[in-house]
Amino acid sequence: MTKRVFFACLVFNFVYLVLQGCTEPQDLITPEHFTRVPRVLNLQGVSSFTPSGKRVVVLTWHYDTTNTNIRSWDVTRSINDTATAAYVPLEIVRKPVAGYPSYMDSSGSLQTFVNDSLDVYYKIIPNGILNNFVGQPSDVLHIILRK
Amino acid sequence: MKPAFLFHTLFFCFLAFPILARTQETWTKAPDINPPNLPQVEKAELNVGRKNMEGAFSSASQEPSQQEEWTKRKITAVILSALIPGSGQTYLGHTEKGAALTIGTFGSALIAGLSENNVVGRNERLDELKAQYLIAPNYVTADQVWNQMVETKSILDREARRRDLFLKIAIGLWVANMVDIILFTDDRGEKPFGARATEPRATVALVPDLREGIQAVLTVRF
Repeated sequence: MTKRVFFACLVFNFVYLVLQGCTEPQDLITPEHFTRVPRVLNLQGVSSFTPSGKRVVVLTWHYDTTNTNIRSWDVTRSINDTATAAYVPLEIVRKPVAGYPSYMDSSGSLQTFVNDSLDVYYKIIPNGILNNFVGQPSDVLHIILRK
Repeated sequence: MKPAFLFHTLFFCFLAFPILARTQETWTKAPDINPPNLPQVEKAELNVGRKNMEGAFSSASQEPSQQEEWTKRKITAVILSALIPGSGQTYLGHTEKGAALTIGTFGSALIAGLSENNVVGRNERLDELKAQYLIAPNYVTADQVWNQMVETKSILDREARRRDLFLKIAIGLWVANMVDIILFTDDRGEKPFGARATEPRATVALVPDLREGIQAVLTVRF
């Protein structure tokens, strides 16, 4: 009986020490970078002309208004080029007091073009308030302007 | 530690209890040489055979009950096996079995130890990535760090699974080694060193040499 108890204690202690000595793998933290700054939703663009005859592209987009960590949006544009580096910042749109933001692009590069059409690409980048975090860029909006 | 792993390990260990109980009975009881269900004639033959055997080998033979008692060598073998799995078997003359148990247990423990080391390293890497993630200035950087964290986590989980598996194997081999040395390993007796190596065969050994370092020696017996 003594031998049996001794052996059982030996096995139990051995197993217990081995198990206690193991390191527990850590868990991942909850990803928050997707929602740290509200995403740009429903990005839309309409091409039209002003009363003076200038071509204008009106951009509108929505965002989650319950997330208050938004200060402004960077409107970037690329013409005839989809490379990430080709996007040029146009303007910083401040958060409106009420409603959703919009931007009217009537710059000179849209007024005259050599070919029959012009491919214009827009991307909106949100800027947060906390730590000036730059949020997830929007999907690319492709607009074709025709003569 | 995962509860399932703990459960399996403890379950495996407690499997040894009935075997141990049986062991104690086996060592304390003399084997019954007259099974009750045999006919009387066969019983008589068995007893005659037993007496003849005892007469023929009276100087060398021992009672079965004495043979299975705890001898000093057996106790030493059990202690050796508890400390170094397989060494008790080797001590009692079962060199192949002992070597297999030693290599198996230490190999599994080595893999478990290396995996544990990787788990520790990956945990530290995950801590570092968490810190980078929390101070990332923009979405693109945060997303890159996040992807690295996900990849590190998958490697970490894989290493932890491997460690648990080989730890189970090592503990299982240790328990099997203990059960084997207590129950199933008989003493082949003390033999002079090298006495068993007289049959024709080839052996390779690494011999330490003070001047040359280590020498490989190939011996072939015909």
